Amino acid sequence: MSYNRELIRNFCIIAHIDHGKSTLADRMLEMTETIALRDMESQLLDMMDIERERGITIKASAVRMFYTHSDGNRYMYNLIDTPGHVDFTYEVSRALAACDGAILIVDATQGIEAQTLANVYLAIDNDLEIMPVVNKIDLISAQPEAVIQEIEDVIGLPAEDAPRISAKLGTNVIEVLEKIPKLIPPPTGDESAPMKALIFDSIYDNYKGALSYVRMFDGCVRAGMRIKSMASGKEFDVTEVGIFNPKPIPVDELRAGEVGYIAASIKTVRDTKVGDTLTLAQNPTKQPLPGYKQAQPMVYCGIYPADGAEYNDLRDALEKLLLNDAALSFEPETSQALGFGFRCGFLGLLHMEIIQERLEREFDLDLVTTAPSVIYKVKTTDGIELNIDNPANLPPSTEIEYMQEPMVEAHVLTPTEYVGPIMDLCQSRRATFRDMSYLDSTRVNLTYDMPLNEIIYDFFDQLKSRSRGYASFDYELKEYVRSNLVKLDFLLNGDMCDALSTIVHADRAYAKGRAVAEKLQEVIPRQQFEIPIQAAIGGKIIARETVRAVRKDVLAKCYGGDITRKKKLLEKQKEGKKRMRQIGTVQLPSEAFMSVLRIN
Amino acid sequence: MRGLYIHIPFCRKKCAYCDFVSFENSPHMDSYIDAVGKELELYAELFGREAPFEISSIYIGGGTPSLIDGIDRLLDKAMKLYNVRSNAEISIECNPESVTRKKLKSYHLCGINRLSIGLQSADDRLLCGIGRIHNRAQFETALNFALAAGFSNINVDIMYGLPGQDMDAFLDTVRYISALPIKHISAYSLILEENTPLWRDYKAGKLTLPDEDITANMQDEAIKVLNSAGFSRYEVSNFSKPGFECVHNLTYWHNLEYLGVGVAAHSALKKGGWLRSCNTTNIDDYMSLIKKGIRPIIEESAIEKNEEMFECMMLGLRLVCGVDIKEFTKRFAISPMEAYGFKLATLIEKKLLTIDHGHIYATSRGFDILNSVICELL
Repeated sequence: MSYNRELIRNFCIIAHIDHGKSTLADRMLEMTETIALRDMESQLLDMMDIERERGITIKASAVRMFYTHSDGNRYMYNLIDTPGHVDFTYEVSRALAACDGAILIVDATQGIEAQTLANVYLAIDNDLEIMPVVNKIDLISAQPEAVIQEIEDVIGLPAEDAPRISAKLGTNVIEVLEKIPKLIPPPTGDESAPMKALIFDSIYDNYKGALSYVRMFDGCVRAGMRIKSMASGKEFDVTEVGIFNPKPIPVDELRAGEVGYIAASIKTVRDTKVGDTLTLAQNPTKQPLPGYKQAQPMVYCGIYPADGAEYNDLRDALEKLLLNDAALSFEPETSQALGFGFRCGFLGLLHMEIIQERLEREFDLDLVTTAPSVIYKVKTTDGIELNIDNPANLPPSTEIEYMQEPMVEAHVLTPTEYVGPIMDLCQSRRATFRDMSYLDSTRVNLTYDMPLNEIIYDFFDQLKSRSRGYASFDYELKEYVRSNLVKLDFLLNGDMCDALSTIVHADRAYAKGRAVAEKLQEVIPRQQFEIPIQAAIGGKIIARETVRAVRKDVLAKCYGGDITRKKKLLEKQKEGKKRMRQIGTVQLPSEAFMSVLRIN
Repeated sequence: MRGLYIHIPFCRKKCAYCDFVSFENSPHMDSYIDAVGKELELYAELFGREAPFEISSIYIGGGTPSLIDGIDRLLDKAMKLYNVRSNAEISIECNPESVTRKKLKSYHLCGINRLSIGLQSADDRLLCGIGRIHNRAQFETALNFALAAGFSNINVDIMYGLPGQDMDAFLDTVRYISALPIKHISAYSLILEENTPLWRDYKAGKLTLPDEDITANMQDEAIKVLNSAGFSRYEVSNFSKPGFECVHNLTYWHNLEYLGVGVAAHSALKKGGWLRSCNTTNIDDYMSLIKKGIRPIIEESAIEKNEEMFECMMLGLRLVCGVDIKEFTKRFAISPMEAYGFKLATLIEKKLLTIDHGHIYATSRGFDILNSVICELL
């Protein structure tokens, strides 16, 4: 295939979760015969199990397809897949920067959702041509014409000619393939200029090292060239370049406008960060591509092995995940209650859940996780500024001048009938109402400023339950503001349990303290002695519950001479105890640490 | 002291809560007694080469031993093969519906001197609920036959925590049996064992059990009623008139040697070291192994000294009088205080155990939560 930049189209598909992004990608791969039907695994672009199960894409991928158009040309389509969740906004924005156009999928039964809008705005920021597509027309509740109206009204995009498709059944997908060259422009770029490539994703390959997924803007790249990262200044020798179809296939070179991967014996994905510009070491391009920033963890939690002996296994597992995830961070920490573990930083809640799940599933680890925390800024009376991501490290209140917490701008899109309950929810989470706009007569976009620490527990679950699943949600970090925050501690039989401590707003501390104490009372099994549970702010007790002592714990059954069985029962009981965490004299089950998060 | 246990694994109908090895309508019922007799011979050969010993108790349990014939024949054989003390306690378990006047007479004649009758509850509705096939009237008849046949050392088993049982129903049973002319009462709590019909019903939500507090109250109330009727508690679940503690069960609690014969029977024997073994639970295998002259042991393990010590604590602490420090020290050449130093001290400090009169025993609170006390010694 000869290189003709005019016949290249680089695009992505943007959509709200579950609107059919991966399904459309699958159909396109089939119809362009990039992949034979029989080799098709459902939703092939999602490479990880968890992604497939949750129906979301975590890591972007890029596939090269060839399509013989009815205009007689054979086009090269590079489909760049983007993650669909708010935690990965930065990754999405870089993937979009690698494209010239975006296919916008809107579900004909759901209409525009929070992430549809968030992604459209990102695409517009990146000067992409947007090609709307209405999906799921096969469903009985589909209202394609209403949705098209909505796209025109809310987004302001002409959508009259948008393909009405069923990605699942393949209906009208050919229309999408035909429309791409008409609506999406070919890439610009200068093949003779020095190499300039944008890294929009990276993965770790056991044999080739970290692979950078790149979009070539200028010049070309071949094996043997010496390249450098413009963000870090580090230099690497290119060992292989290639494309995905969708498996990685080595090619001789990648030229301006093309999309593919570069292998350069890079040891970790940390050295090939998303958003970075790669150029030639000897003859570098003048300006890096704009928009690079370091991914910053926003949410932290402690992760501990349920069995202390698995500490090293946990560290190894985290290191392996780190190879593939430049946004994850971790460092060792110790807790009186939980022993040795790690404080891990995540982009957001979903990122956190995914990592926990991968640790448990792929590495077969049993974990105890502590309540997630945001980063608080603390100004001490000595004038020192501290970043606190672990409540246990908060200085005593007498040494604190003031504290700041991160605020986000949150957008909630909801059918009008749920506005009341959602406003109640937001108000209960210290949110400040900013704006309410109607998308159409039935749907509303609510804008709030709210503290991130009110979102990280169960806000999303609550939102879903109060809107019967219809409301969608998106947020972005705004700023740090001063806030009246206190540390809420819990004492079990008089001993403080550091792993249960949280930082909360003073106004919410009493309610939260009471609710958590009640929850602990439910989850802590009865033991030899009565266990007082106390919630405390500073030294002051604000709530108290009691776990009554166990009444009887004795084998009052006749096992005859089967002493072995008696012994086994006791050993099992002992084993169960060992799996509990010892806080002073109290045995605390692992679930206690997580269950306190799910407080209404 | 040494006990002999004989397992008779047949029932007319298995109870809904039972997970012991027992069979309904087994074709081996007629030939089983002779097979057990053969097993007794196999052990007699083995012991023949070792020091002589005395048997102080024989316990024929089940299943439902009273269901089959030939018990007298088997006992006769045991007496001939082994050195059974003349005052040995010889017990047999029976269910109310399976005994006749004649059968009980023959038991008494062949040397059996203790009867254990499974009543479980004096409430016919509750009996039906746990799959028992007798009623209170049948029990009364059986008891009268037993007394008439000359038995005076009689135990009655009862259970608490049964589905649908409330405190009144339970206390009614307790008061009823505490007034009977019997010497021993075992009060067990219902335990739902996996894969029993009752467990399946419970999992399917088809049955409600009294809650933890009510069950605990039942035990406490039973202790009071039985005490005032002259039955003192000497073990977690066992009560007796003075001097009528079950010799055979004490063998278990004192962690002494016993030989078990029959399907699924367990043995604990000192042969060099401390050995525990269990016979096959498959009756076909049992019959054919015996036929070939092979001892039908399916599992055998040598118990390490510290494990044997733990057994002594685990079993001994079930007795109200607890662990005899002198006996323990004699057996292991180390005292329990030395063996369990810190752990023991902690439990004593927590007022769960006490040392007094040369015994370590559980306090009343310690007795209630004995499992977790013993776990601390593991």
